[in-house]
Amino acid sequence: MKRIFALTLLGLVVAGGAAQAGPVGVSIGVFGGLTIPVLQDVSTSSFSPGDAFGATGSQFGIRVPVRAIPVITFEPYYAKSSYKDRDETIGGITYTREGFDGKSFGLNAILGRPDGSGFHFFPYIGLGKTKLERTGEEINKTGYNFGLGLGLSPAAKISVQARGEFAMVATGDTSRKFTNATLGLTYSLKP
Amino acid sequence: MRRYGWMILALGLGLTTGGCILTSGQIQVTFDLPNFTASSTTGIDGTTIDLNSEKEYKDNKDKLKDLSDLAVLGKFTNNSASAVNVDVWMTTTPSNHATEAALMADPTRIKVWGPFQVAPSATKVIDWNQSALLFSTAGKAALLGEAKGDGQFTLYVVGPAGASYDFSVANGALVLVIDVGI
Repeated sequence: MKRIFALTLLGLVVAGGAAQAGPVGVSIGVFGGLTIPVLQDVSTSSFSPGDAFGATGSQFGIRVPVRAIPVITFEPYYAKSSYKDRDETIGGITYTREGFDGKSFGLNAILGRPDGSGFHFFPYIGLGKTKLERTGEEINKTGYNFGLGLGLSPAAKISVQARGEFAMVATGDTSRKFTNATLGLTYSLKP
Repeated sequence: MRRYGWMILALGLGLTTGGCILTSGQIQVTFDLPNFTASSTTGIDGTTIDLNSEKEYKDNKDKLKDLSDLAVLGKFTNNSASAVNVDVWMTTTPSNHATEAALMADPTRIKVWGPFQVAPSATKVIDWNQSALLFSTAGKAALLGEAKGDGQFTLYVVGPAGASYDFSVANGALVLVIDVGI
């Protein structure tokens, strides 16, 4: 948690200090898409590469890109995700294990502008807090993500983005990992 | 530009300071259990588990960090005319107790799981989610200790102390999802 505060503070200090250089731009966006668990609850005795990916879940949320300095856009986000239940036959009986429900918030640092004009790519990394819950198990830890976005602005103040990212929640010396693919729509509140 | 470079470096360090968190995973290990019977009059069964007998565990034991999910699964049949609350106990040292009294006198005993209620003269298959909720904190810690230790312990299925009970468990399994650094 201290790390999140430290990095958020760093971001705010850098952004605040540089804000004097130009006007601050603020946008608001929504997004939704797919999220897939990676290397979770796998059986290594019958493992094939396809088993590395769990059942596809869904994710949606809100992002607020803030452009206070050139080159980097800071983007607070909040996301909710839902993962599918998993059926497994053990001892001749089929059991169902509930999938996680997730909530996360944090801050992305984007190289460039996700809502810029024209057709453009933007890499990003992020840090936040993620809570994963299912019956009998709760994980509430620091989350990390990095990815690549593709932006397109079909009209003034409006942009559409597709993002592919790798996200993980640190659980001590290990982590729960996910790959996410989302589509987002952003409206520019302040140029 | 140097300022941004430091910022990216700081975020990058944040990503990697967790050690091997990137190269890790959750591996499911399933142990089939023999059929159990437990009766307050005729006695109880125990089964000694050697985690090393499972390839998934053996291959990953040295990389094991934690237990992320646990379940006792199976079909529980209550042969009595009154409801029964089933508990699972373990002795951290392999044992062969034939009665509940002998089990309770074992200093290494720990209640791992339960109570799971089965109605009179009924058969019930436990739900995985319900099973995950029935592990005690001490039981989880004890299983983790065994998983990180010699991997050998004995499980017993018993009814409430002092009560009259008669039940059996078929198609049983102990499921451990282990957190491993790969």
